[in-house]
Amino acid sequence: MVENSFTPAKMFLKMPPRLIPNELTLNNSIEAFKLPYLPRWILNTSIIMVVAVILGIVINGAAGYVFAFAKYKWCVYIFWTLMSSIFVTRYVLLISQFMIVGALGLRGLPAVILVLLFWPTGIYLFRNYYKAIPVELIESARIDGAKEWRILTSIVLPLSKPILGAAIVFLGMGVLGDYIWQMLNLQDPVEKTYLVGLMSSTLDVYKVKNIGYDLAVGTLLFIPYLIIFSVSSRYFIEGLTTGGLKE
Amino acid sequence: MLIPAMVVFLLTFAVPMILVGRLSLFASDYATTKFVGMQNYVTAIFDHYYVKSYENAFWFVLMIAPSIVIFAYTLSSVLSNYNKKTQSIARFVVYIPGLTSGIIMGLLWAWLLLRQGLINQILSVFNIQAIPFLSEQWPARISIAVISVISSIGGMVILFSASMHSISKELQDASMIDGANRRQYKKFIVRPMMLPTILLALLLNIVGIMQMWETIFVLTEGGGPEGSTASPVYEIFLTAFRFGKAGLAAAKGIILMFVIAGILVIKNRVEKWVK
Repeated sequence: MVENSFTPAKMFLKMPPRLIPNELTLNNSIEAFKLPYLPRWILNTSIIMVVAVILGIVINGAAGYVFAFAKYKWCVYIFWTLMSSIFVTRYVLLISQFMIVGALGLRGLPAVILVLLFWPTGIYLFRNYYKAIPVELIESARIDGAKEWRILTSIVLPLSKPILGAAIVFLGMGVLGDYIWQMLNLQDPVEKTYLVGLMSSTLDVYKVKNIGYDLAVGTLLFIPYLIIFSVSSRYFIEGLTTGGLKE
Repeated sequence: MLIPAMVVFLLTFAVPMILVGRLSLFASDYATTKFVGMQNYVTAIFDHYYVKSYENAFWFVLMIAPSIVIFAYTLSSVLSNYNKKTQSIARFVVYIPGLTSGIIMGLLWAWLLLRQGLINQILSVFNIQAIPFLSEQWPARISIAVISVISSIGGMVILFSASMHSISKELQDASMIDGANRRQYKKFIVRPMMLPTILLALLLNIVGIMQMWETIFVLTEGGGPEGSTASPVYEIFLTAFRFGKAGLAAAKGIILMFVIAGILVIKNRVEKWVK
């Protein structure tokens, strides 16, 4: 795909076709870079990603902490209510989520962020991870008079590097891949994200059938994934499969 | 500390659920809304394309679920013989297609599978007739199934590896002392212990198949030849946003939820029966 994005359109129509193009061009990528709003789209995606990842970790991490260490009976009920939403398809709720976002006056980027923040799988992962931390550690901090947020930030957080890596990957991927919701909410070209913007440009160019351009866009869209993979792959699997403390 | 999570839960899940339930009783095209009671549900059940989408899902389940379980099980079983580092690298590599957005995977597959795509061009060198990967019923279904297997196998490998890892070492030692060889150990100890995980994997796959959306959207816009690749969710999406029938789409969504709940119940029954 990467190689073919540098192939001019006419090469695809050659008979017989060749696997290795003998004429490389940057035109397809340059065409994509010429899109007037591209820098804006990249900026939008970065904003969404930073905000959604940080807020998502705070919200779901705190909830996971509560479910791991609180001893109230009703916490269990709330936990399973939240978990039941895993089995409800997101797409069924699209219409009414769209209505709510409209009623709150949150069209545009805030709407995109809001929907990403509820992440039951994340709560589950955080809870399981924190359950492996010895309760004595938390209780001794409570006896020393630490408030719950203080315990979370200064005791639990330093222990949770692997799970944070996994959370960053998952939430980041969520931002990058949430095509349908972003497409519905971001109609104004200034507000579009990297994904929606570039995809809308391929849908226009599609009629010309320049496969080279499509693949250039595909390659460009893949770059943020490569960045995320390379930053946090180390923590990723570890966070999913190991518990809180190493012996 | 629970409050932020609860607020987000209410805004993005609980309230929308109630709204969908209410909307499903109305005939709505976004601008005007009229109360029609259960009419939408009746229309949905007799909607040819909606019923067909479940038929598609059925075929997809038959094609996808067994192959994913077999591939993922074999792969994680083979991987468990290697050291930890190799394991995590291999798991990560098979997981990459699953993490990448379905839209991007769709673009990549379109390049391979279109009538002028790479595979057909290679075939044409050998004078083989072009295969209509995406424009005829069964080839299109099989293409979508293959893509889906490739992109969801990684998650399943992680699931299987994790639960294989949790089988205690003592069991293996005990079986070895009793004179079991490696094959017998895998057959009589590992496989029964893995059964709940296999059931869970099947369930996750079936629910996932009902919700396939992105690859179908990119590869076979509009649901493919005679709507033969549309999953239930994609059909709902078309109803809501292409034909503009919000009420009908909501009713279809509620029916889908009950179907998924039914599958969950069946899974629990099967699990109890096996035990």
